[in-house]
Order: sequence, then C-alpha cells, then structure tokens
Amino acid sequence: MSEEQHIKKHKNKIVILLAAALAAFALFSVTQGSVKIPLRDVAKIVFSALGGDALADIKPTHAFIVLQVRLPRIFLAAMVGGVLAVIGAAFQAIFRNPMADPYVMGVSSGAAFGATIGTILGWSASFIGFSGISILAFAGALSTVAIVYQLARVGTRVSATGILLAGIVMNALLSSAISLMMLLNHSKIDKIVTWTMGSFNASSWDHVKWIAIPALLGSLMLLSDARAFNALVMGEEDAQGMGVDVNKLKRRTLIVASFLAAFTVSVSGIIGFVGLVVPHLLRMMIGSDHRRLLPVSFLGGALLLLVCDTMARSLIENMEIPVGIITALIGGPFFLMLLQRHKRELP
Amino acid sequence: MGTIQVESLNFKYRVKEVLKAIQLEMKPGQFIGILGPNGSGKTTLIKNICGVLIPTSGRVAVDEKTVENYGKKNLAKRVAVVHQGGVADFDFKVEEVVLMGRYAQLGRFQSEGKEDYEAAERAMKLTGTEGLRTRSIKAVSGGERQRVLIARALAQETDVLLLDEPISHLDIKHQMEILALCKRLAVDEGMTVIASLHDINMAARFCSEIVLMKSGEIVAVGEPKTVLTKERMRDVYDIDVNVMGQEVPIIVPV
Repeated sequence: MSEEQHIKKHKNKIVILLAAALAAFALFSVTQGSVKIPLRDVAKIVFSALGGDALADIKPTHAFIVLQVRLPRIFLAAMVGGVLAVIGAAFQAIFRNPMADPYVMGVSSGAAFGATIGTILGWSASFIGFSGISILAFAGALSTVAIVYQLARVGTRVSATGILLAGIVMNALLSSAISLMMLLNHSKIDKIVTWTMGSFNASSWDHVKWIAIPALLGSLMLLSDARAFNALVMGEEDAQGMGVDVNKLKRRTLIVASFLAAFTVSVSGIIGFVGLVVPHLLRMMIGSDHRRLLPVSFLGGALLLLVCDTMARSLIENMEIPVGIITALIGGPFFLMLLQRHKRELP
Repeated sequence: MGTIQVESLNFKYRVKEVLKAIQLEMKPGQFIGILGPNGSGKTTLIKNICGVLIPTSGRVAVDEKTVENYGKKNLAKRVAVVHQGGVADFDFKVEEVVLMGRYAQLGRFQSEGKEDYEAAERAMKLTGTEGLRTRSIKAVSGGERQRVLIARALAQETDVLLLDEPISHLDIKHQMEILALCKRLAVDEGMTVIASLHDINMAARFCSEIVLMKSGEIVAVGEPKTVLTKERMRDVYDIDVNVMGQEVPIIVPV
C-alpha cells in the first residue's frame, strides 16, 4: 500500500508543481516585454484596478500595458495552450494513437483557408471585437470538420482511419487552394503567412471572453468522459464490453473537440506541437489515466504556450515572432528526442 | 441468472453467410467450449452474444431479454467479455485496468468507492493477479496479461463470462491455469462461462459442454465424450484420429 500512496503523492506533486509554475511564470510574464515593469508596480496596478486606491506614482501607460495588453494576452495564451493540450489528449484517446493532434480533422487548413479568403477580400467587418478574418477562419474550420466527418461516416459509425485519411486529403486540397490564392494575390502573401503561423498579438479581453466559456464547458465535457477514454484505449470492442457506447463517445468527442479547436484557431491562428507533445510527455510521467491526464495536460499546455508566447514577444526587441514558430522550434527537437529515446519500443 | 438463448441466429458479413441457423442454450454452472476449425464462426458467434455484432436474423437473449434491448451499461452488468488482442500503446497499471471493469457501475463524475475496490480485489484474488497490481500492463507476460483481462471482466460482477480464444498464445502451464479458473468460475461461482478454443484435448478436459462448429453451423452440442468422436473429427477437421481415454476423451491424430 505504501508504494501506491507514494505514487499518488508523486502524481499530486506534478499537479501542484505545474500550477505553481504556471502562476509564477504568468507573474513574471507580466513584467516582460518591450517595457519592463517591476513586479511591485504590477501588483499595485492590479490592486487598484480591483477597486483599491489609485496610485499616483504609476505611469498611466504602464497601467494600460498591464491591464489591457499583457494580462488579456497572458490569459488567452494560457487558455489556448491548455485547451489545445486537452483536445490533443482526447483525440489521442479516441484514435487510440498517441500521434493524433488537435488538427487531425482539418481544423488548421480549414481555418487558414477561411482566413486567406478574408485577407484577400479585405473584409473589414468585425463582430464583438473580432476581425472578419477570425470569423471566416472559425467558419472555415467548422465547415472542414463537418466535411471530414461526413466523408468518414458510415451510417452512425465513424472509423478512426477514415477520419485520418479524409483529414489528410482535405489538408492537401485546402493547402493547394491557399497556395494558389497566394500566388494570384502577391501583395497579401505576407499577411496570410503571418496569420497561419499563429500569434497572440493584439489580444483583448473580448478574445478572452469569447473563448473562456467554450473552453471551460468543452474541457469539462471531455473530462466527464475520462473513464470512458480509459476503457476505449484498451480496444473498441473491449470498451463496449465494459459498457461504453463507443460510437456515441467518438461522435461526441469529435464534435466537442473540433469546436474547441476551431475556437482556438479563430483567436490565435495555427499553433502546432502543443496539442501533440504535451499530452504525450505527461502520459510518460503520470500514466494514461485520463481523469488525471486531462487536467494535467491543461496545466502543462497552458504553461508551455505561455512560455513560448512570452518568448515570442520579448526575444527580439521591437519585433514579434509568431508564436507558432517558437512552439515548433522548441517542440520539434523535443519530440525528436522523445522519439529517439523510445525508438526501441516502436513496432 | 445467466441463461443465454441463441434462437435461429443467422449472421451475414455483407453477403457472406458466417453463421447459419444457430440454436443454443447455455446455463449457469456450465463451462462451454466452442470448437471448430479456423473460419468456422466461433469468434462471430461470441461477438453476436455480447452485442458487438447484431444478428442478421434471429436473436440472442440473456435472461429472456434480447441483447440489443439492453442499454450498453446494463448489458455490461450481465455479460463480460475478453476479446482477442486489445491493449494499445497506452500505459496503465494492472490495478487500473482491473478497476476499469467497474465502468458500468459508476456515474459520469463518480469515482470508485469501497464496493468497486472490493470487486477489483476479489477479481484479482480469483485470477491470482494481486501480485501484479502495480506493474504496467505493457510489461507483464502474455499469460499474466490474459489473467489481468479476465480479472477486469470479473470485476464487472456479471453472470456471464465470454472469452475469445483465451489460451491461444500461452504455454501449457498458463493454458491449464486459465481453463482451471474458468471451470472454477462455472462450478463454484455459478457463472455461465463460454470460451472459443482451438485445443480439443484441453477443451475436453475442462469444459462441461462442447459446441462443435463447422462452416457457420453447429455440428454437435453436448458433453465432451459424446461430441468428440472419430467420425466428427473427420467430418469437421478433415483428419483421421484415434479417440483414447475413458471419461475424458483424448484425441490423437493418426
């Protein structure tokens, strides 16, 4: 029994460690950027914004930077990172494949396709603080998911292989269409490419509000199926034998997770590797029990993306690096390292 | 409780008839071995009984109620099954795997309680897997893995246990252990245990009933010594054999 308790303690330690690291790094991140603001000033600004006394010795521009620029951005990056990792873990469970990522259903290329059309048309409409481009990206992502789902569906059954194949084909198709549109609209290439690389530039509290409720509800819905995911990764027929309605579970998860993925790309563009690497890594540390893996993945994904985004906006002075580049630059080699270490276990 | 009736069951994969006019009744306390050559329909029959496949016509009833009419969770409280294969790339401890058998008993956000741990404990004791509890399911041997999966099925606390080729890849010691366990579950615990098997002599030794199949049809049903005859072996397996042994027939190919 003592060994068991020891393991449990070890696992709780990871939760506490991750949560503490996330909070600490979020605080650090507020002080970083083109203007360095000391932590003491940050504390005063937040305190006064929460109804405390206004403080005379703080520059109003600093207050604006903390409250309207950095805090919403930090919240958003953490939330998107957390959601991407949870979706990744859920997709890996229903495909029974640790290589699945949040974009397997074509969310990324669908969103990029929508964003490209929006950029080319120069659609300037906006809706509760969202550019037409974000809205078209959201619509593009959801329609692509719907098409992939329809292609892979046999009656009420959806086959994992069918989805993966249909997703690959849609990705190829849409990527070609995007390339063609870029060739025909040379002047917009810059903007399109920057969008597809993902960024939290110009995040506002509106974005946070837009994504907070779906993120919370969606993650809770996925978490409520955690035990079913455990059964499912043992085999579809085995899971049914244990009482899981496998087809309903797969359908529900595909829909919820794809919606969440579409929300994230509409606010931040395409951000790779977080959804693939985080659940994978955490699974090696704490095992596959999804009741623990999903919440821990949220924390891990939030931390990773927050770190990457802080680097994105402070590594090079007066220049913003798209965060998608950083996650891939960090995530890529890291993933290769994992692969090297576990090569022997591959079939 | 735990009576299974298969009534004029036919099953087709697209156009291919895999099961034809299957008629069968299985009762608590019986250990039924399903024998027959590859492709004779053993696995398909098991999948029809546990509801993974739906009969093209006819029906399977568990305690008089048709299998499709049970909800997925309710069926899992009556019938537990261990399929062939399973266990992918995902890492779980043996104890976690056994506890998964409690899925049907628990609500969405409910975590396992005392009852569930007790059921898992009993299941591990019956299968002799207590010593493996903290080991990874990926790290145990084939025989241990099969026993763990049976423990998971037993944790469901059902009246019926279905096993698809439970001893196919095991050495003789583990084959004996698993079949002895099946027999004990039927005789001592009053379960209805059904297993598809390839080893005729093992089946004859441990099973109370034999269902002999050939090309999707049942050739004979009954006690091992009445079913396993020289003539049937030639008919079903197309081999000549000598039948030795008194109470328990021993089939020796010529």
